[in-house]
Amino acid sequence: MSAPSNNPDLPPVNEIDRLIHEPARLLIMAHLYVVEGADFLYLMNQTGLTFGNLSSHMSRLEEAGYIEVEKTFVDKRPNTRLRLTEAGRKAFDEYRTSLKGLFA
Amino acid sequence: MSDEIDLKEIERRALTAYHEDGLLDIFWGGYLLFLGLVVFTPMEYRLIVVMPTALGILLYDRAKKRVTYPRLGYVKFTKEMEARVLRDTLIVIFVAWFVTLAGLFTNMGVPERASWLVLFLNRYNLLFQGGVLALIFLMLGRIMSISRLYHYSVISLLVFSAGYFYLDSPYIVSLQNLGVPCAIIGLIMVGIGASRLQRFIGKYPKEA
Repeated sequence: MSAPSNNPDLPPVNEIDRLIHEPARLLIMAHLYVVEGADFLYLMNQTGLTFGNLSSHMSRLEEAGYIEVEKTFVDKRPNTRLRLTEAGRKAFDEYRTSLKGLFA
Repeated sequence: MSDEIDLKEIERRALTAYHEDGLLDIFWGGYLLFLGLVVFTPMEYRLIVVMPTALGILLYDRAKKRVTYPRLGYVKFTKEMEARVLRDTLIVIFVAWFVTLAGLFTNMGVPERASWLVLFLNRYNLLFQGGVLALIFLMLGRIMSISRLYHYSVISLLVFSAGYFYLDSPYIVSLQNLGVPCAIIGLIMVGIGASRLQRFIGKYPKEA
């Protein structure tokens, strides 16, 4: 039996972006996709991820250039704001398209 | 696994979470309460109705910054979404004001050869105004994805209907008659908003 990626009849599984495909990162990307930007606390509340979990996934996405992290101060308190980059938005669009294609 | 990520649902949840604090209920309810009470003041003081509109927006913004953002976190919605909500809200408010004013004009006296519509509006004015307010809440609930606004829609209909049947002169509707139901709905909204705010503060404690 040949590998799935070599079989033209099988959907292109290997086209799926594995960085986004991880559930926690997918949640972060989806929440950031529908807004202009959000801070760390908002994402923690909306996704239900813990501080450490969100922090590590945030770093992975930032390294990939999918999100932009800006550290500022609000009322003398540190505030971390996140937003999707153009590359991140494009990658998320492509991820959705390939996922749709997979199940079409 | 679903082949489609429900972004509309995520967007809806973001909007709902943003208004979970009850501040919107307190400010809109407070405004309705104020409108309801201001009709009992002498005519020359009624222009002050403009003041709390501007003041309310400022206070709402400050309250959001002090109460909501430190607990729920900060979110900036997309410009398209903000523009869409603003456009739809302005359309609703414009249409509502137009319809309300048209309804109010029918109270200024019914001419001898009034059309059936004027007579109808004059006869059922409180019900008509309640219907308009209910429709506003219904449409705003849909635009802003806040389901409790549908409840306010039902409450408005009920309170105005009760007003129509129980107030002294339902046939010759005065502004005072309009003020009482407005004040009652405002009071209910402020109460619900305060209770939501208390729950919100308990659910999202401020980080030390």
